[in-house]
Amino acid sequence: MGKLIWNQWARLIGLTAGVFQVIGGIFAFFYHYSMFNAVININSLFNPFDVFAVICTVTGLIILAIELPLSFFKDTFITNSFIPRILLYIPISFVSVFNYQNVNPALYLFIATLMYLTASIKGETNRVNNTLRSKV
Amino acid sequence: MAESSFFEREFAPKRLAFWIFWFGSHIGLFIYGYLKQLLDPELDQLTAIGISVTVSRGAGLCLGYDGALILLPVCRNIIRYLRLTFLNKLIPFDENIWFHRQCAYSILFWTLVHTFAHYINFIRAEQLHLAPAWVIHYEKPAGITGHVMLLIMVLMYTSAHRSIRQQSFETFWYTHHLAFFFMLCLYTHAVGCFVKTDPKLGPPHCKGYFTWHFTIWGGIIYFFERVLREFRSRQSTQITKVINHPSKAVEIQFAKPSFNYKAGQYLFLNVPKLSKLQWHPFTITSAPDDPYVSVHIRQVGDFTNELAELLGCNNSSEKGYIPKDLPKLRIDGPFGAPAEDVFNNEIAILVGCGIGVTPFASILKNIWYQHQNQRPSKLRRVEFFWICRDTGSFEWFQSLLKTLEATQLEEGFLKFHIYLTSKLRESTIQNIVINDVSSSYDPLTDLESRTHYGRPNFGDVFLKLKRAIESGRYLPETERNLSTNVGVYYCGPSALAKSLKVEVKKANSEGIKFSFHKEHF
Repeated sequence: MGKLIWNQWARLIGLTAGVFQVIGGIFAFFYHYSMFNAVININSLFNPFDVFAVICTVTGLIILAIELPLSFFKDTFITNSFIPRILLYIPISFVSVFNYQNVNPALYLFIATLMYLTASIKGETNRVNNTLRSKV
Repeated sequence: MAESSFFEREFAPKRLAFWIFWFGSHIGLFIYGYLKQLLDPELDQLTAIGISVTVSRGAGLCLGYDGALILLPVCRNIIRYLRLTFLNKLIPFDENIWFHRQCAYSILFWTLVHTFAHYINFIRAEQLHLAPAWVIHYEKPAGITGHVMLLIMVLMYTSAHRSIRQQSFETFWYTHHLAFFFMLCLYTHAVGCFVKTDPKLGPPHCKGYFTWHFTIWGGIIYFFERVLREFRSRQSTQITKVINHPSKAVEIQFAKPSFNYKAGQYLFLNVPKLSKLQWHPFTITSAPDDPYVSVHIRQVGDFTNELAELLGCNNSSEKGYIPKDLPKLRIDGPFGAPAEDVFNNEIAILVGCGIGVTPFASILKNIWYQHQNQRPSKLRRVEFFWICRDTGSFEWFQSLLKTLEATQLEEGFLKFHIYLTSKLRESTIQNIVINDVSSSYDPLTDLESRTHYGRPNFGDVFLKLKRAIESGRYLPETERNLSTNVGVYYCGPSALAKSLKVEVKKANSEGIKFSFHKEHF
């Protein structure tokens, strides 16, 4: 059994977070709700128009585009190393946590970010060596 | 070779019956849960929230159903006993992990339905001045357990993805034990009771589905399964012999008086010195009549490498090195595998690839013992195929095969077909050519049956076999109008398994029944 490749796992969690982020964003077009209503009053951002709906949908799509990765992101500086992702995901998860349905994706994205951080500290590269061991 | 298409695979009668049952039972439960909420006048104040409540209740009932089922297919000790009963003909017990996955996919789907319905519910609840949404989410027990389960699911599902599982089994294995907390949350999800009857209609009482009344049974059964595993693994076990085979294979022989097994079964092995929690499956290669139990372990990963190191097998010096004391072994098993049913066929075709030969080694040994002790057996003919990549691999079981061949039980009872698939060096070829001509034994395997080079063409093999049976040449005494069972048993990579299965299906006919059985890793 081999060693765990952190970025492989981070990518899967990132994809999960991305999907939820988009769904949560679309959800917010119909239901405007600030998750931290009791703590901080930022209702002007939610009513009459929910700014977070746009933010979350767009960032969710960006996450998916980076993680898949889509062809125009392939082999660019964004996908070739983990640092741009880490820098991008931390603000995304910080912002989207305020939106009602995006608390969970924000948490998952944060976990994925921590995993990417571990991956870059451990010196993993993005070139996943997909030589699957023969099991026999 | 052709592979069966998606349509052929998913709509095969057995599979189709399962799908109808599976989707049918879920949709039925969903509708039941949905209507029960909708039509109950005592729950009207909840139904007033909207359609999302009825949807979430229906999905919740489906989740209870899956939650009760998901632990059952991983109770390997219990499955082992069920395999011995008549149920084995009805339920394919060897597909337990496949069923476990179907439960998981189903849980994922209904979780999405349930969760999104609740997101709408809680907003509506706030609008109706029942409670603020964030309070329901993060202060009520149901909300907390729900969120914990979601997080656990993210970690469990992603780490169970094939890419992670094959790269690092340990990560998958350890993360999957979060299931313990998941199940605790599942059982306590209804604590705090949010499905209360309308206070206007008398004193309020809980009127949920009480799914934990039956989901918990899955957990209880699994708990006993784990206790049984622990108990069995603590029975005394002593390593008696370690043999270092070429091609990085290690054979461990051990004695465990409390261990009773049948040929072709497998066991789980744990070495506390390496890891207290890791259990690894290995096929038993000895026969029940042997005074010891043996497993052959090929060094392919962390665990197997470290184990070989611990046993002193990786020492390159001539004399070798003998460890002062051998590590303690813990054994859980044996567990049933398709190969143990080999003896129920008249004709058995055994196909092993590389180290995949191990279950058949046990069976071949058992055949030998059966013959020595003149025990009656249904088995009339055995065709043994061994497909190997390199010549060194042959040495693992060379002595066994040679003994079997020398005893030559009954004329034509056991036939070896050995295939070598790797490219040979020119010098090796020369060597073979020179030695092959004069001697009556094969230069590579030292057996009477010649080694074939390349891959076997099973379509052709089956066709020839069928013709031989039909013409009565193959089994001279049998009446031709009686049906003959031919069992094809395979252990090896799944790519060949698929094509082999197709060939078996093609060969299957009224009088001569071919059946395909695959060993799972």
